[in-house]
Amino acid sequence: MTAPAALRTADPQGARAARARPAKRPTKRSTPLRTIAWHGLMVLICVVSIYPLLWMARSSVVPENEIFSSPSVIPSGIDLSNYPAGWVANPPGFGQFMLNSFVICVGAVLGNLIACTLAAYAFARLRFPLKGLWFTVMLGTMMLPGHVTLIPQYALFSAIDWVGTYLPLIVPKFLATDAFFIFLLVQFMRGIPRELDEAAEIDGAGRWRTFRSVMLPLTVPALATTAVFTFIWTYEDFLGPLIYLSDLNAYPVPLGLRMFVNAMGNSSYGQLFAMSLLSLLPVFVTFLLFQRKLIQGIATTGLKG
Amino acid sequence: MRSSPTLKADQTAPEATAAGRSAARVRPGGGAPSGGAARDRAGRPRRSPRQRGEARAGYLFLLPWFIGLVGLVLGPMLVSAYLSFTEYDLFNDPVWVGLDNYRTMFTDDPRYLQSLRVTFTYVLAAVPLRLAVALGLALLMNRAVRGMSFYRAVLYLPSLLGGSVAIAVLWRQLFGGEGAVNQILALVGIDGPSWISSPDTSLLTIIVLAVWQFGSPMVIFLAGLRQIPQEVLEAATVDGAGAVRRFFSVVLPLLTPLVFFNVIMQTIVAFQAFTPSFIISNGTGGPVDSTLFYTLYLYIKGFGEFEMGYASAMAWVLVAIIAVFTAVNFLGARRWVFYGDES
Amino acid sequence: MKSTRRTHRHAPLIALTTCAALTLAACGVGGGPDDPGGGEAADPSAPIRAAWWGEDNQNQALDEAISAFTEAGGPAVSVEPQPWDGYWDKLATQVAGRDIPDVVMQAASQLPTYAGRDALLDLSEVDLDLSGLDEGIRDFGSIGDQTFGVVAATNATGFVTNADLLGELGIAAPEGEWTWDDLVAFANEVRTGSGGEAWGVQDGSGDMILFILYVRDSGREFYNDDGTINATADDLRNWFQLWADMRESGAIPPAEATAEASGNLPGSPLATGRAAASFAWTQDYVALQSVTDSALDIGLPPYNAENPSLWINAASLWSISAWSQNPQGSADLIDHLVNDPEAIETLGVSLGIPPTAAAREQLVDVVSDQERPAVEYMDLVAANSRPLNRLWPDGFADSRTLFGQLAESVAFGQMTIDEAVDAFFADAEG
Repeated sequence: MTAPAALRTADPQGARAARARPAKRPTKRSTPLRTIAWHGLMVLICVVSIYPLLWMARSSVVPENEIFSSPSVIPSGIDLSNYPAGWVANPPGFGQFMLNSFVICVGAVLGNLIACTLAAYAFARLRFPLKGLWFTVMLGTMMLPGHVTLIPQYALFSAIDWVGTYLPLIVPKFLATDAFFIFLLVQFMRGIPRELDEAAEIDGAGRWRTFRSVMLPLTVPALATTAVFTFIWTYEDFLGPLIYLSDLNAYPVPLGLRMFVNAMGNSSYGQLFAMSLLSLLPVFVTFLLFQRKLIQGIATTGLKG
Repeated sequence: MRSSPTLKADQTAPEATAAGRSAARVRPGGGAPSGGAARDRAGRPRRSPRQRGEARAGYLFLLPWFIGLVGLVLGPMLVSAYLSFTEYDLFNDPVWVGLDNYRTMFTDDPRYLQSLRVTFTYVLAAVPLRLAVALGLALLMNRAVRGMSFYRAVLYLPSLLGGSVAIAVLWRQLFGGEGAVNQILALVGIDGPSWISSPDTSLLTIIVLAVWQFGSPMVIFLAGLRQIPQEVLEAATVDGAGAVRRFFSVVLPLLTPLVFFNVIMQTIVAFQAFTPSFIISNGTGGPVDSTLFYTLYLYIKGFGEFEMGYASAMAWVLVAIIAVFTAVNFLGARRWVFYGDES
Repeated sequence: MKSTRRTHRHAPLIALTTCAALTLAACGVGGGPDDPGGGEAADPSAPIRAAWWGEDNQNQALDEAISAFTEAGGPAVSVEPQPWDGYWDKLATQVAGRDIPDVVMQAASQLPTYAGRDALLDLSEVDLDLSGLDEGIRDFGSIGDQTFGVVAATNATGFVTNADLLGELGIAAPEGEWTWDDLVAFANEVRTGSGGEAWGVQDGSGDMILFILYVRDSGREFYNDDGTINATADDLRNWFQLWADMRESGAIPPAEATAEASGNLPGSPLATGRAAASFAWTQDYVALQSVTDSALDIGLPPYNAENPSLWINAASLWSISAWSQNPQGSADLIDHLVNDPEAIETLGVSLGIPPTAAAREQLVDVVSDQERPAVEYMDLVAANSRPLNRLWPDGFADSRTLFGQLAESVAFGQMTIDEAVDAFFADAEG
C-alpha cells in the first residue's frame, strides 16, 4: 500500500521542491473579523445543540401541567422545589445513585484502559500466528445484537452467583470485551510512526518497556477518548444495571431516573427533568476536564513526524 | 464472524509489510505470503527465536482479551447461535426446528422485511450524514481559541442525552404537529405535517436525531486531527497549499485510519440502532411500522412475544449483513486508508 | 448485596451456557451447576424476594408494610423495586435463568403468559385466605380451578371528559344509560359546537379493551370459556367503521395526531384541551388531571343496565414463583399486604384502589382530592359492572398489540377495514 499521491506534498521532497519556487507567506491564520465570525458560527451551533437542555431546565422549574404545553425555553416562573424533592425521592436518594454510578464507571474506565490498550498494542504492533483470525473474531464480537446474548449472559453470571453485584458490569471490562475500544486504539496506534518504537527496541527495550514508555505516552489522546467514552456510556447504561441489580441501594443513575416514570398513575416529570439535568453535570465536567487532557497530551508528547 | 473470514491480516490487522525496513523479519501466519522468507518443509515460515519471542509477547498482551472471549463472550454467542435453530420461549426448553426460523423470516414475515427496509434506509442515510457533520465540526474546532474546550463539551451534550426519556418528549416538542419546527415553518407560510407521527416522515426525524448526536465520531476525529504533526502542516503551508488543498492532500489522508474506523463502527452501530426508535415510537416501531428498526423488531420478538429462537436467528442474519458490509469496507480500505506505520 | 441467592433448579440454559463456556475453555465435559431437582422441604422461615414496579410513594409504602411483616415474625424479605420501564424484560430474563423472585407483581395482561407456561405457583397449593376480596375480583387471577394471582389493586376503564371545555360549549357529558351511537352523536356535537376547534373524543379504535366493552354491550363475551374469540368479524367491522366515520367527519383526531399522542399522556389531545373526551383507565385519569388545568370528570363508558359491559379490572396482582423455595412464606406476605389492616393503612392507595371493601372503607378519608373521583368512580363501577367470564387467555397481550397495529393501519389508510378484520381473525385462529 502506498501513500496517497497527494500526501507527498507533505514529505521532505515536496517541501524542498516548494522552496525552489518563490516563497509565499503563510496564509494569515486569524483576523479579528474571522474570529468573530467563527465565534458567531459556534454559538449558533451550540444553541441548536443545547436547546433540549434549556428546555429541560425550564421544564424542571415550572408546574407539572405547564411542562408539555410549549416548546419554549423561557419559564413562566421559577420554582426550584423539584430539585430537593427529586433528590430525596426513592430513598436512598439521588446522591447514592450518583455515587453508585461513579463506582461502576471508575471500575469500567480502569478496566477498559488496561485491557483494551494491551490487546490493541498486540494487534497494532506485534506479529504472532493467527493474528488475522483473532482480529476478525474481535470485530465479529461486535456484530451480534446484545439482546440475544443477554439471557445466556445472565445465566452465566447467575451460575457463578454474580447477579446482584457490580461484578457483571465491571469485570468484563477488565477482560477487554469492549471490542470498540480495542479497534479504536489499534487505529490510533497504527497512525504512530513505527520508527519511534523501533528506535526503542534497538536500544534494547523489551516489549513491555516499549509499550509502556513509548507507546502509551504517544496514545494519550486515544486513551483519553477511551476513558471519556467508557465513562459516559457506562454512566448512561440502563439495560445492564436493570438486569443485574435489584437492590434500590445499589441502583445507578439511569435506574434511579426511570423510577420517576410510573405506568400506574403519576409520573413526576418535573423531578425527572430536574434530576436528569443534575445527573448530566458530572459527565459534563468529566468531559470538560478530559478535553484538556486530550489537548495537553498532544502538546506535551510533541509528536515528531 | 464466521461470515467474515476474508478479512485477512494484511488489511485488518494492522500489520504493515514494512518490506523495505526488515526483509529478514517475516510476518508469521496471517496468510499473505512474504517473499524471501525461510520456510520449513511444510511450507510454513520458520520462526527465529526473536519471532517466537514476539509471538509470545503478542499472546501475552492479548491474554485478558482471550480470557474474556472464552469465558464471557463466546459462550453466550454460541448459545444464541444454537437457539437460532430452535423454538425457544424462555419458559420451556428449546426445541430444535432446524432452519425454520430462517425460512420464516424471508418467506412469511412481512414485518421482518419492513424492518430490513427501515434499517437499510437508516444506515445509508444516517451514517454518511452523521460522519460528515462530525468531521465538519471537528475541523471547525481544531484550532487554538479561547473557550474551545467549552464549545467542544457543549457540542457533545446532545450525545450525552443518549437514550434518556427526555429525548422522546423533546422530539415530540420539536417535530410534532404543533412543534417548534412547524411553528417556524408557519412563519413562512408552510403548514407542516406532524413529522414524528406521519409514516412518511417519522423515520426522517430519527435520522435527524442520529445526525444531531454526532458527538462520539466528532471527538474521535478531533483526537485524530490533534495527532497530525504540526510540521507536516507547516511544510504544506510553506509549499503554498491553501486551506482547502491542505485539507485534501495532507489532513484527510492522515486522518483516514480514523475515518475508516468511524465508517466501520458507525455502520455497525447503525445496523444495531435500537434506542432512538424505541424511545421515540414508545417501543412499537410505529406509526404503522415506519420506524420498525431491525433490532427493535428482534427485541419485540424475543422479549415481547417470547420467540427468542426467532430473535436469535434474526440476530445472526444481521451478523451476516454487517459482516458483508464490514468486509467490503476492509477490502475497499486498501485503496484509501493510509497508515503512519507504513512507508 | 443479595443474601438470598440460591441454587437453581432445572436450568437448561445455565447448563448450556456454562457448557459452552467450559467446552471452549477446554475444561472438560459435563459441566453445569448442581441440580437439586426440587425435592427440598420448604422452610417457611427461609428468606424471600419480592419484586414490583413502582414509584416513590409505592416503594416506601411497600417497604414499610413488608418490614412490619418481617418484624411480626415473617421471613426476611429482600425487596426489589423496579422501574416500569424494563420490568418485563428483566422478569423474562429471570424466567429464562430460573431465577425469578418469590413474590412478583404481575399485570393482568401478562399473568396468563406466565401462568400458562408454568412459571407461577397455583395458589391453591398454599394456605391463603382470599375471602375478603370483592367478588368478581377474587377470581380475576384464576384459570379454571387454579389461581395464579391475588389482585393487589383494581382499576377500570372510564369515559373522561373535560368539564371546562364542555361547559364552554354548553354540551352535557353522556350520563346514565347511553350507547356507542350516542358517543358518535356526542363527538360530532362537540366538533360542530366548537366550530371545528375541538375533537369530540380521542381515537379509541385501537384499544382492544374498548372493543371488548363494545362486544359485551350486546350481552355477549369477547372470549369463549375455552379462550377462543367469541366476537365476530361483523363486530370488528362495525367497530372500525364506527371510528372511521368519526375520523371522516372530524369528530376524532386524524391518524397523525393520534399517533403523536400514543404513549404520551401529557401530550394527548384531552390533556392539551384539543379533545373534549377520552377513554382512560382510572389511574390515567389521575395522571391526566395532574397535567392539565382543566377540570376533568370520569363517568361510565357506554352503558346499558341490562348488560353492563364494564368489569372491575386488576391493575396489578401478586403472584408466587413456581420455583419459590418458600411458597408458604410468600403466601403469608401476600396475605399480609392484602388483608392486614395495618398494611392497608400503610399502603393507602399508593398501589391503586384496593381490592377489598374493608380496605376501601378504611381508606375513605385518607385519599387525596385528586384521587377521590377515581375512588368514587370505582364504587360506581362496582355497582354497574359484570365480571369477565374468564381470565385473559395466553396470547392476549399479543392480540392486543396486533389490534392496535391494525387499527392504526386502517386509520392511516394503509389497510382497508376488511383487510384488518381478516388479519385479526387469521391471527387469532392461526
